[in-house]
Amino acid sequence: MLAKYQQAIEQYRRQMFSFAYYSLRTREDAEDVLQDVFIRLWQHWRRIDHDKMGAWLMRTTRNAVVDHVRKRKSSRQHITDELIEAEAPDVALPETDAFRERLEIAIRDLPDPFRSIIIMRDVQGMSYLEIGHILELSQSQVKVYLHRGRRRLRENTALRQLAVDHELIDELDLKPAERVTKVTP
Amino acid sequence: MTFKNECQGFQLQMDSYLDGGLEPVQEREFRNHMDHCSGCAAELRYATMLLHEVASLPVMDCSEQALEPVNRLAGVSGQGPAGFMERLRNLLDSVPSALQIGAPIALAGAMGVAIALNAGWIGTPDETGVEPSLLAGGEQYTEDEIVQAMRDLEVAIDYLNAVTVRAETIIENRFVMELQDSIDASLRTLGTGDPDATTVDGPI
Repeated sequence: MLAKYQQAIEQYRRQMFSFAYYSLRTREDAEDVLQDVFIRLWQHWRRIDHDKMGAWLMRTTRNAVVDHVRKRKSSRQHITDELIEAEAPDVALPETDAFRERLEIAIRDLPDPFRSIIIMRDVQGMSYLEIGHILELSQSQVKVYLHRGRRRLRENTALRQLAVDHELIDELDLKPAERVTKVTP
Repeated sequence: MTFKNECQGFQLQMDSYLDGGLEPVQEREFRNHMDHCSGCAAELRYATMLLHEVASLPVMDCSEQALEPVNRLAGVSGQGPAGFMERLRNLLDSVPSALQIGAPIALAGAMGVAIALNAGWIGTPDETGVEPSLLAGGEQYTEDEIVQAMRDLEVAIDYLNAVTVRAETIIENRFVMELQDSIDASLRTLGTGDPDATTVDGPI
């Protein structure tokens, strides 16, 4: 039993940690979340459907992340993080690294479930069915949230500015297309 | 439809196009529009690049330090995760401390009184409130009576042990499981459907 517990952690820990890391974007916070999930797995071992272990672990990780974000929002730590980010000097990162760093921040700043679905689908390559099981959503709901999340990511002003400044994309308008349909004669 | 609305319609189809989810007719119209609209074509290039960048984010792994709870749990108990006593301890940890201390004392007291009544150790007290036999000296008991008393005491201890085992079983079957099911049901009622689920429904 103990061996199976350790085996489950070995099998899923990278998937869980990647999810927590891209949701929170600090190793310490992601590791805190992971440790919380390890303990919950131990406590609930006998009541978990072991055929759906991966889904249970990802759902628990996602819930722990959501709780962590909620706590951080109400603490000074979040304010401090934002100040550090805002005041950080422009380090001469290669263009692609700077864009990737801003992209990670943009993903972290997406509201849930957009953030979770973008990470699970576009970063981790999970299927709509798997994501639906984890988040208890239908496949069509997952698809709708995914497309909305991607659109929000594309509309991220800082990310677009960086793409234009670094000339990563030609002729990209800084302002994305209007969201609200205006019927004109 | 104006030019702006037409562009907006195609940009709403962009993710379906990238996922290969458009019907052949829709896809032909989409490609045709991209060939003739430089703004939408730039948006499509940006969307494609963004998707590629997101997919290129590396898989991350935690440090060995993060695995410390796993190693600690493995070291502390060789019996495997969440045995009965552990689950009971977890449950008791979530109960207020006054109840944690008070409930076992009350249970032990009640069991003691029940055993004493059953064994006839508590009778009608005299005017002093004390059993006459307890006031008497040791000379009044014969050796046989003392042996018999020791046997009775052994029976009482065995009975107490049996009651303890039975109490554990009852606590697990009727108290722990029901309480846990009740907590689970309450959490499900909140709309989460998972005992470990957060209570948050909307976007965070």
